[in-house]
Amino acid sequence: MMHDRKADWSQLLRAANAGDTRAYGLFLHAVTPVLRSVVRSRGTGLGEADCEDVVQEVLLAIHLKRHTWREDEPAAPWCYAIARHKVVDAFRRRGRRIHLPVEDFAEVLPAAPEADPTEKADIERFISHLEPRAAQLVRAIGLDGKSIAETGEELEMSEGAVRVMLHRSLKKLAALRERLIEI
Amino acid sequence: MKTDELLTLLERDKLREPQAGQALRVWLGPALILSAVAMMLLFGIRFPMQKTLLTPEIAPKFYLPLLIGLIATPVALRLARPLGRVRLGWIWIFPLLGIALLGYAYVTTPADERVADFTGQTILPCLLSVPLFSAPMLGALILSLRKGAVMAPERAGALAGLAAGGLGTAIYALHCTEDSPLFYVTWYGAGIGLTVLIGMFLGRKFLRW
Repeated sequence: MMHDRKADWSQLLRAANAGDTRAYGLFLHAVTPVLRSVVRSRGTGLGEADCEDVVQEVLLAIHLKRHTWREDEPAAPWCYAIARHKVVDAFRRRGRRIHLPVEDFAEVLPAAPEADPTEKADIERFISHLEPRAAQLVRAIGLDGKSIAETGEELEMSEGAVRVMLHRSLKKLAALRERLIEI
Repeated sequence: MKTDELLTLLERDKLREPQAGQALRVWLGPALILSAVAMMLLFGIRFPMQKTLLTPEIAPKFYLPLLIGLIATPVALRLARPLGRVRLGWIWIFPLLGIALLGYAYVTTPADERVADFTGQTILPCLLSVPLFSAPMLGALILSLRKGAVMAPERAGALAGLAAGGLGTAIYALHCTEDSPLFYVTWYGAGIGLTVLIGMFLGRKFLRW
């Protein structure tokens, strides 16, 4: 099974790089339960919602750093390296030092699929810090599940402009989470 | 935000950040020009240049740091990627070359001139100039590495310092009139070492993410 994970993730991420949105979605959905499992095993006493926050931070980091993976490298170790770095960092900002060997990612069993405890209202916490138009765009795509084209129509923007604003908003969200959670 | 909603956002975002290498290709050229122009304005190039570039005992003060810079730059860049591994065993070749040059100079310099050659006239300007003229390249390297995902900030910073230090020293060498290896191996080496330390510090500060 461990072996499969490695092969699958690399394949999915290669397809994603070639523009396959579905493959990228599968990759992200495969990574998430593994992250969730690792974060929960370290986050006893942190609360499920806070753990999920850490998971989301790590997912954002994986996404925004995906250009640092090379197609001739195995995707799983790359992913674990980013995740380990980010999990340690996220716990540090919450006032906890944790020991997390990278092997733990490879050995962990993915968390159950229904295990997302986050409230829908949580979205406002971060999105409200974006400029109004960007917040509207993030809501349209993330909450209403609209496509880039539909979002463009709704906001009267070109598709290219929507893509750029989406990317910038994700970068901003990643930075915001770090700033807002710093203690 | 539900994690699934976040994933929808991530899925739809097709834009990728530039690679560290791409960023460096943009910034390294201007940094080298800035450094060279600053050196020419502050100190001026020593003429004739072929004396620096073609005299066997003098030329290493330009080519050796240049080689360090050219080799260390791509190595530092590799540390921008989480799975980018670097072997550093080769690094000892430079101190060894330096020591060989020192030994050669020691033997070929008359005993009563050794101390004068070693101290020269410009230890302090040299020690300050090497980090100064390396600074633009060090800045370019650190900014580029920030585009990546550095796992070992201090090590990446130190290698950036080595690369920038090599390039900056080569530029300074075009001005410097100290021609004994007893001088330039020692004090250029110290200047590069200083730049490595600065790079390590900057790495700790700016390459964490």
